[in-house]
Amino acid sequence: MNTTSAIRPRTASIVLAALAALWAPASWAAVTKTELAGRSLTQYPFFEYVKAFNQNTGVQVAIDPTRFPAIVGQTCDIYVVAAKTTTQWNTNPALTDITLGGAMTVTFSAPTIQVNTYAVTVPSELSGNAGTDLGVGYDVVLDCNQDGVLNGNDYIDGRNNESGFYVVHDTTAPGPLPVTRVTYTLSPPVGSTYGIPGGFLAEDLFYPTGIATMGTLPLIVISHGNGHSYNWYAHIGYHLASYGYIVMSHANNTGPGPFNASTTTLGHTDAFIDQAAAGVIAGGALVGHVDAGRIVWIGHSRGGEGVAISYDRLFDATYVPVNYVKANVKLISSMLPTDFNGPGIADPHDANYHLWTASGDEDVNGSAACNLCQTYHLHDRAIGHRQSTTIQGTGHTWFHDNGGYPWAVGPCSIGPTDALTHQIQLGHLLPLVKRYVDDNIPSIDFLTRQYESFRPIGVPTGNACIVVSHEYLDASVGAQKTVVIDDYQTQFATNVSSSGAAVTFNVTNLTEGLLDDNNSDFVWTPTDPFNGATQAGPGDTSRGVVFDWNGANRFYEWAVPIAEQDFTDNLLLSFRGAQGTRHPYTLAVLGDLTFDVTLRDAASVTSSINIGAFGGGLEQPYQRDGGWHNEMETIRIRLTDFLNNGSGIDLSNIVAIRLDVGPAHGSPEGRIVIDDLMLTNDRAVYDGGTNGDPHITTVDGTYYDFQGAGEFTLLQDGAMEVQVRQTAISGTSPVANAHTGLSSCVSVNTAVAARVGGHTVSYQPDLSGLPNPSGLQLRIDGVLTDINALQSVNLGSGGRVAKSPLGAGIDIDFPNGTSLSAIPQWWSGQNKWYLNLSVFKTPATEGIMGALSPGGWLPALPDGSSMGPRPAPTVQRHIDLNRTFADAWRITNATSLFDYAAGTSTASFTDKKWPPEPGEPCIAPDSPRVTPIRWEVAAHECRDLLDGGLRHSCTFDVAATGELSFVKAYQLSEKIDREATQTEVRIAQNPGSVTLVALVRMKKSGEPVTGGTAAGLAVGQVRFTVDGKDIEVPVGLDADGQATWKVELRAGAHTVSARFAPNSDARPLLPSGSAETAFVVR
Amino acid sequence: MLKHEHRERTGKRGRGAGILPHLLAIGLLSFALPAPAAEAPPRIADIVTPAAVADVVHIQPFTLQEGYVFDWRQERPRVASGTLAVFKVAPALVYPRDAAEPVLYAGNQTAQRLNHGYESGYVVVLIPGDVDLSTEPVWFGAADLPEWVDADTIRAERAKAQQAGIAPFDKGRVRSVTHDRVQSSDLATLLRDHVAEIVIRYAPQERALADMWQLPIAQR
Repeated sequence: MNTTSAIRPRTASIVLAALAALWAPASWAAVTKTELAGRSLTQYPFFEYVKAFNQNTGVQVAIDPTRFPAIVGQTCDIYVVAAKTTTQWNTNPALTDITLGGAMTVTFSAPTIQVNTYAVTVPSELSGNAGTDLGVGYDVVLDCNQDGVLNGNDYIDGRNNESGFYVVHDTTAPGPLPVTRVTYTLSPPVGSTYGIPGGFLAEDLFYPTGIATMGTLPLIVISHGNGHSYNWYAHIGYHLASYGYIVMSHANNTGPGPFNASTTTLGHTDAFIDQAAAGVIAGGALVGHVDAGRIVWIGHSRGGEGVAISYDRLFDATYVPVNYVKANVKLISSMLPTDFNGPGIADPHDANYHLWTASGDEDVNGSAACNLCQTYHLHDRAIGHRQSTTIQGTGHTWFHDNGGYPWAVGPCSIGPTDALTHQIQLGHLLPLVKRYVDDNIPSIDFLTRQYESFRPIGVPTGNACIVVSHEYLDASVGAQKTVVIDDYQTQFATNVSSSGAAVTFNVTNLTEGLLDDNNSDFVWTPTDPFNGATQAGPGDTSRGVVFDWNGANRFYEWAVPIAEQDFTDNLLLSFRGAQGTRHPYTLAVLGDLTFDVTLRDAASVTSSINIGAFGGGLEQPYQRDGGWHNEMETIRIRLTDFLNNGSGIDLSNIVAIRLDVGPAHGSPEGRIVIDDLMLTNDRAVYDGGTNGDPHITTVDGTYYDFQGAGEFTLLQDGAMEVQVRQTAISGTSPVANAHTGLSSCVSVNTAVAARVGGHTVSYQPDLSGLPNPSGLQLRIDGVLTDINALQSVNLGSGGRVAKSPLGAGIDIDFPNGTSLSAIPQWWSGQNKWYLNLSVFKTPATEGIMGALSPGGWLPALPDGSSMGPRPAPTVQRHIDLNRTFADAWRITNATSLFDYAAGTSTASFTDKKWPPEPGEPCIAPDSPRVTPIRWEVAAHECRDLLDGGLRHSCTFDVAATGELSFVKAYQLSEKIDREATQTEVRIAQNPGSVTLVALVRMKKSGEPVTGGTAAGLAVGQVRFTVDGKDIEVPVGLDADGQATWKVELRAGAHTVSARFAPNSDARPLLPSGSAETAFVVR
Repeated sequence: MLKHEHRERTGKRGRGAGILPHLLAIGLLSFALPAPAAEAPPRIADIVTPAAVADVVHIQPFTLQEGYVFDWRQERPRVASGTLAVFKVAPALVYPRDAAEPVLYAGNQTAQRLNHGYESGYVVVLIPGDVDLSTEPVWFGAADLPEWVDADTIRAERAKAQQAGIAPFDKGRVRSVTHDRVQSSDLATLLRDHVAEIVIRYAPQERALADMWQLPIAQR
């Protein structure tokens, strides 16, 4: 809390610092948040930071003294503590070590990460007993002032909704819940209603026996393959139900083909939701317990193609279910799918998609001569998050539990029973489902790490025939998300990447092309350069590159486009690769294939990591008769690993990524396919908003009204926090909110405050409390600041406050990439300012704008717990939302970021009884009664808003209050959503000159600003400012949304910024300016 | 009412000797002795079509009060009456597989295969309309998806079958295995009340299929 007159003597002063001034750093030291937990490696980078540890392994902690030189010489206590949420850390920073030996005291030293690596637990020391969850979270703290409290110059791995690490249990083992199994058929009329053929009405249902005391549970639907049966998936049913899911395996009409199978999947999903709600199924046990908003489809073989077709039919709207929509399908997993139908039909589109492939499958056999038997087609068509798991030595029928002819061929079989296949299947299926249904964090390790180094505990470790490869592609796009360097889908020349930069190489026999074996066998021949590739079938477009080397050191190098040379926005470097099938160089060195990945910065500093460092390389293809399809595997390397042990590389200025192959770098010879080189993150970023009578759109897209009066945490993530003040208004909502089902008295946002790095920012009414229509007041660290004069204030580490491009209002950029726009409007009838707030690209998920807890109807509470499913009684809903939930997220005097006049505090703005119970009068203090108007009239006033959600909110607010200024507020919010841009600057140093590049992107979508009119009118121009002086010539944007200017600068320190001015005749856009960037010319 | 006496006749061929050369060798070898479950099925590329079925052992017209969409051909006709039949087949032709399988034709229709039949050697089918199997041939055509098969495909496959010498069943044979028409309210009821018993009788290894049709109906 900042009580201005008491501790901020400069309250009345207005600081007019230089334009774009760097705000003085906060005087207090900051806790450093970084990765600490992981495992040591025998070669560079010598340590792998990970999220998940199997319960039967120990945990190590390491810090690189060259990345954190301040740690050298410090004696710190290493604490492993039970994980806390942001709020819990803020309110209780005390450290309590939970390891057997207690906190470990160590002295950190130079010069390597190896000498600063410590084992902090032994195997099985920490509990992984997470109940139905996957893992137990722990945070790691380096308490470097040794005071037993997180503060000062301490280091922490954790401190937000993502724990430092998780100890996971055996995912092949059953969960803790007893399971009830019921088999039945739907009635013929129900089948007829939902289009299910008469012979395929049977369902095999698994659910937690104690479901009556549980909330809503996600629905897993299993669609079997041809010749299989609905009751052959009990192993999956029991397993997932024991972890709290409802699993329904249905009779599937596969005989006619996968399209009819899809009809059965669609119909059974729809009918099941209906019949469960109606109490028809399982004696009514499922009433109120099926979460139709979280559906997973698992299909086998023709059924595996069928589930993809099902999604395609939802995507194309050629099938419209009654009881669910496309967005409810959170994951599709196809086991050994056929591909009869090809692109445009057997197409997962934007679904989260997972593929299982059995390399020994004799039915859907993956052979070159059988396109419909090539499983990888469906995976490569998916454009959402996609992943695949390839298992060698297993066959087609070992994925169900009925035995019979195995349809398995090849050496090193992991049969003849299905036990091993089931262990691998169940051990990965649980994290897979949790990843997409519950947004589970440690699950991603099961899907992305080399199988050799991390796998389900229950799968035997001594069986050399168990070979598993993972592919994983994060499909997030836009700013601070995935950046594709080369996916080979455009720019087909071998010397240019799909991102338009140069590609150089001296590897041999290089070809770019379709990932499709071009003949009917897998025998190597030079005329079939992609021999063994089955990722693309007829009509598919998936492409890659293939090359080889033999005995000599060679390279393949991508130049990095200037716009993407700052790698600090991303977490991982990712690509996929496979050994070339039956090529002589593959045959010559049987086993995993390895090579180095090298980054080079603008100063020609390089850092290399061998892909084998993390436990394996590209797997040897499965040597079955007639087989050997390429088995792609994704390699992901944490970008900061390239910094270890003082590599000196500058991750903010990487000019090239190189694959170094040959005897000095790993396998002496080999032939490999490479694809999908990208920079990526694991954590998603989100948008959200709170407008008018607070209509909140949470970061996971739920739209709900929250009318509490007081000051609340809107959103937080570790050190970043946004707080909002809501003020009661004497008016009532004209209609009930669809999500809460409540219609209550209303309030509005009247102030916002934020923690930006080490600074506090508040934007609130005149502290005097007197109405002041001249504007809201901005304070930074308690100092009144004239943003109109300054335009932009740099707060360091990417933090910034800037004047809104709309003229009134402010934009705040946070170090974690979050961007917030605050748009004020004056309400003369109430003598109040109110605010619409839009949040873009935030990783934060906690607060009243935070993500809904799994199975809960409201965002999670500060301690991470759930409010549970929505209560049926109106009064209970009111209490849950406006009392329990509201009070949980109220800030305190200790946590407040607002500035207060003397004698006031957060309590001065709090009314815990607002909104009153439904039906009571809406009389708020200091708020004249409003005069509602008819909905139809309000709707007419708001008719020009294009976005349906904003139009509804506008209509609501105008109808509730009769206040027409809301229309203007919503128009401005929509303008921000649709027209706001952001400008960043990149600097590339060339011999004798410096190239300045301004990247102009749409603020919300992250898409480059491109286009113009047919007459060739540029969409806008950029003007650079170097060392405080404008460069006279404005620069137009190119087709990639970039403006480039080459300038000669003397050696030494310089600054640059850029401002984008749109051409309003070309396209409606808002201007934007970059923060000032300092750089040194060498 | 079912007639069971035909089970004993399963070793007899109901077709002319001219069919034999057109049966695939693998099918003939495994004809007399159905393959055990774990025996390797033939590669699909080794299966020669058109291939005749060995015999018909049961024919029974049916009528439904509520018809159903016949999804075993592209046109998806609505079927309110049809023919229930049981054929003796070479197991090699009917191993269930997820890749394409040989399609079973009856005259100008595809046959809806209700069971697999590779263990018993008997396939229970529904054929749209009242088909006369003494005038219409029954054969396995090229591997395909039934949902893709249309009238043109059937014509082409039928021509191949005729060229291969595949003929309809003997009139006497057809007459001897034909049963009285059965009536049901809908397809599910037909399967539950009538076809389930036939599956159990001719393909007892697939009792689970009959059990599935006869599961309790979910109701309040």
